[in-house]
Amino acid sequence: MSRAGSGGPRWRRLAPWLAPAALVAIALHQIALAHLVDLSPWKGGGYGMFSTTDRGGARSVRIHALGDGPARRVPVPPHLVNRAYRVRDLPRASALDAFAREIARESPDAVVGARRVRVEVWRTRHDPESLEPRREMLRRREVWLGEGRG
Amino acid sequence: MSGGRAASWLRELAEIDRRVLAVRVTLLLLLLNPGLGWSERVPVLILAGAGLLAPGLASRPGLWLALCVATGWRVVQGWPLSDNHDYLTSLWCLALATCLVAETPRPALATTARWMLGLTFLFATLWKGVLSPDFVDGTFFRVTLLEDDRFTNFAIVVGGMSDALFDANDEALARHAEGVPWDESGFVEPTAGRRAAGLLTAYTLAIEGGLAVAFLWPGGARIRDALLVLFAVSTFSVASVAGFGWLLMALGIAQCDERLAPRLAYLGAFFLILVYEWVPWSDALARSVQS
Repeated sequence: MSRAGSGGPRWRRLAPWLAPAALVAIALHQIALAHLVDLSPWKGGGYGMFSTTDRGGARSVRIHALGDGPARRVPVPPHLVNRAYRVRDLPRASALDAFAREIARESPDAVVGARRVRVEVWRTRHDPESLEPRREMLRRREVWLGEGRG
Repeated sequence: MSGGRAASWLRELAEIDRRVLAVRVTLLLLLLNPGLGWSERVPVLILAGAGLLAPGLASRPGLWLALCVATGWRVVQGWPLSDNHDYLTSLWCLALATCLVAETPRPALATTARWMLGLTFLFATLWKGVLSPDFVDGTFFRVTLLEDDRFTNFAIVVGGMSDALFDANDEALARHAEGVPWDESGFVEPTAGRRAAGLLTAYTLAIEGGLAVAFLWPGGARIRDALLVLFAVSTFSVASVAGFGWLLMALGIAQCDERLAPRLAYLGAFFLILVYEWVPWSDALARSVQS
């Protein structure tokens, strides 16, 4: 930082750069996550807030139990809502798989007879002229539960 | 306050070391915005309160390292849901800790604050101008004025919206979700709203890009403070992110020179953001526009 007293210990001269360097590292990491695993640009410390309509509130998580019959919609239990928000904002494959297993474990009644649980993350985009909202699926993962739960 | 007392107070303010003032303002903003959950709030409140009550403690790197950990814990625990200013708060506490151990703390703190402000606005501009597909074309602000609750009053005052029109648009969106074509749903975007969105888009790109240049380019010293205060006074009257505004003012104070005017401007903006946050002035304005 300052050149004054440059004869002192090197770490005392370099220490003030730690915070700006960390700011850059976090922001570049956030840009990478946004492009590689669809992290919401509003999150992650990269200063993408107020830059896009793709914020958490414009995303949703849908869960289905899949068995022999038609797919059944599984609601998110109230105590897993925060986990759902995390999956929604950072829909990594590993997080989606873990969330599907947790749903199966925490909501056994909802997945009775199911062999798989499917988790999807959707977001809403808008037509730049008419503003018509259009939902698009960001990620989908299915987790095998075994031969018919319950 | 008499003229003599005011002059004395201003003289006292002008004589406070810039580093000390930045530290006090940072402690104040930490007390005003300590986090949401009790486990986040309590350590921050205790540490920041102790720093304000014992000024000697506030100049110890250890206090700032502890505050860096306490505010950083909120980011780690909430990953990736924390807001951007939560990261910046923790990094600013780290900056204060590292600058207090530097050979020349005051210039080190000024340079670090300047770089952090410049980098923050550089990345904000990168997202808005380059990386996001829907900012430059105006879609973001058009949608935000119509759908984001935080912008409702602004949309009523300058965007041609009203409570009745918001309700009608909610119904139109519900109809569209049930399969009614968009053109027949009855969704309305007032012309004034579209115009306001265009102006907001241009203004935001210009001022945030300008701030990035002013703080990162060595020749930008003359306009830095004026631009940052203008940004704070204008942006945080609309966007309700007071914690971010207060933090920017603390960084601004840390890097500004010894003149009284920029100090007063930053402190004035700090308290104006407090008014924006806690006084329902925009509700009253929106109501008066509709009546």
